Amino acid sequence: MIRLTMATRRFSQEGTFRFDLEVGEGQSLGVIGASGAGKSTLLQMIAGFVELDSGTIELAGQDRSASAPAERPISMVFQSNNLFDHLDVATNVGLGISPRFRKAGEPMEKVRDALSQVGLSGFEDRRPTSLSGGEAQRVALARALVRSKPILLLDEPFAALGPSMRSDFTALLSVMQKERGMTMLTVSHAPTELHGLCEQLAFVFDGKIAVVGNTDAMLSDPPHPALADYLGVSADRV
Amino acid sequence: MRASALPGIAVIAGFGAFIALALLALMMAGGSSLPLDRLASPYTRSLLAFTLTQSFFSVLLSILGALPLAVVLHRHQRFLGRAALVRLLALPLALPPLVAVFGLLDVWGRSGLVSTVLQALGFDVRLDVFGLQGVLLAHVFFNLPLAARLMLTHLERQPATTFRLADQLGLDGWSRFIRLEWPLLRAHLPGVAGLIMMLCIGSFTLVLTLGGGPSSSTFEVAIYQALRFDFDPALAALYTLVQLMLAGTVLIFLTRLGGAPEDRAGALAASEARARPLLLWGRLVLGVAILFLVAPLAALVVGGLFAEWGRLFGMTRLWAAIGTSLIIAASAALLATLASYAMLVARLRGFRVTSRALRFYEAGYGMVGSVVLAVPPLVLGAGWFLAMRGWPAPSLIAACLVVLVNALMALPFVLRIMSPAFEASERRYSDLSASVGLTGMNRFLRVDAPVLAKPFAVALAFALVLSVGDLGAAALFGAYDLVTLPVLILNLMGSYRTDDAAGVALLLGLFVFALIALAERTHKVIG
Repeated sequence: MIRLTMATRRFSQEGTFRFDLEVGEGQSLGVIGASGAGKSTLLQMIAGFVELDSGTIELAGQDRSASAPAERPISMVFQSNNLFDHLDVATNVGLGISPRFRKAGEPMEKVRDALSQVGLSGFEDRRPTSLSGGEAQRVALARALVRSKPILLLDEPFAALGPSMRSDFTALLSVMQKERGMTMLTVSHAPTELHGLCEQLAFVFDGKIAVVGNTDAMLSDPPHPALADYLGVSADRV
Repeated sequence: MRASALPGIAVIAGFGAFIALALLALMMAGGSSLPLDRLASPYTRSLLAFTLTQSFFSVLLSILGALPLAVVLHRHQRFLGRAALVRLLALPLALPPLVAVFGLLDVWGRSGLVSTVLQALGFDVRLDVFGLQGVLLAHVFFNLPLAARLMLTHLERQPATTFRLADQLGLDGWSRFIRLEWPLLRAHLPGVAGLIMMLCIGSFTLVLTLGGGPSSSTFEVAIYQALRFDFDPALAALYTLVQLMLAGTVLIFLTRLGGAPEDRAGALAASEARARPLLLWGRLVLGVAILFLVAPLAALVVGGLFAEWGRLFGMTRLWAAIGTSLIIAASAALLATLASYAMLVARLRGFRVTSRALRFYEAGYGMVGSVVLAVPPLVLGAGWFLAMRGWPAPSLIAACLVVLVNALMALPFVLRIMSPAFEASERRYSDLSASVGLTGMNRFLRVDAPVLAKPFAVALAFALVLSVGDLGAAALFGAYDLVTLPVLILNLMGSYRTDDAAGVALLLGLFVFALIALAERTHKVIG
């Protein structure tokens, strides 16, 4: 479970971001909003990359407001640059198990298992530079799997993928999330991509969460004028 | 090719001819009597051994010191004074070597701070800073900050997510170094090492002042001595050839690596980075680095204060040197800036993107923009020093030649500062200017001058800093009564008026600091 209470960060140029949000255990929430509204900042606050000026962040029942990123029960998949180019695929995944990971024994078995779950068996010795965008995202997902953290954050995970890869990756994410019961937050520019993945959507506007609701309802009948503007839906429907 | 390419082509052709004629003059001075047998002489062998030894150890020590400093500075983005420390790393690059020598002697010399402290602690030790150890110390003082800054920039240019990922995976301490930082830096080290090697092979002022004798001399110093004291042009020509071969070999190595590493702003803003506790070893690294860099600068100020300022300011020679330095440096800086502008205009506006002429031009642009690394100012000066024998009005010609050499020396730095701003302006305003018919001087006055005024001012200030502190070319032409501030300092040192020399060094240092501060302020406004 994720709970943000008045979680606030002030930037000199970008302004103030203040979030209140609650996501239930095993729930999948999509986060949408215009560029600069604060979607990625929200994820970075939860992951611990952006420190709070005030407010709290509770993760899996514990106050984690001041915890370092590695101490939080979170895995995160970024839009790009998810892999260390100088390390092979197995080590990239294995670092999710331990910073002292060696390619042997039980940890390596876990890596093979995770790679097979994302459809990349036999990719252990490949270098990230030889992978396609979709394969690289799958490796990142395999690392998230071996980390076995209850919360998965995805920041624009489809941005670097072509249309067919997007649907494959969405399907894979959806299965993983349901099988493992992970709490998942996905930031995306394209609301339609979240349709099959998230049962709920949060709309971020002007550094705050303006509205949260059922995905279908939010997209078909926007409950907030700014969301209607963002989706390009005529104002008379709001 | 368009008309806008012509000034740039003329600049490259002019500078190219200037370099070629200098080398030709050297070769002709050697003539058929190039003393090749001297290549095997014990003195030449000792020059080669010392040049290579000091360069190798300077590189090694600079990199070994810079590595932990860059790692600590990259890991800790938000401690008090970090920004000042990073700025301090850029300072030695602009500091005239002759000025730094005073600070280093005051700290590490026989009567310096370290010797005094050691004696106070009961050790009967007096450090001797002249010789290999002095040259190494000075080279590390200049190149450790350069290496640290290049490594830091390289780390900062990695995608921010790389380090966020490392944070999330708990990569810290040694595992962070082995898994992430070292692999990233290892690929970058040959470029950094090559650049430092090149600078150390071409080092002149530091070896001249701290070498301490013929056994600790490099080819650069030997060329100077052959011309100024032995007047043996053939030997100077021979040593110039050796020097060019040495520097050329390293330059080829560097080019194969993809050029010298660049020093640019980082990608991960300090405000984005997490604060992490600064451990004991990190504090130690920072403390030692600050002491090593700041102590000579502080000593320079304190040492300079002991000069008899009343008498110093009453010296006609001082005012003449200030005037000469300012005229030469300002002319060189203006020439370098205008030449860079012409070269950039030609490059970005003068040719069709796909034309073969552009490829030829790019080759010339790259050559003139980096030639100073392979052909040091002293070598250029030496060529022209030999060529101008017997010419009328030697003082005036000498002044013009020093201006040209200094402008050429500043060119790579000026181009590097002006090029990004010029390219950005071009991307933004090129089509717009064309659509309203702004070309030639109109475009310069309406678009280039207002938009690029600040980057140009920064470039001008850096060129001024480099030129005003140069000793290489000016030292040779001192024979023609061309006395700049660095030459005056050298002369005062030679006549054992160390306090006066320290006072003049402080004046020169303060002038350079003021220019750097002004340039940094302008740079901040731009960026």
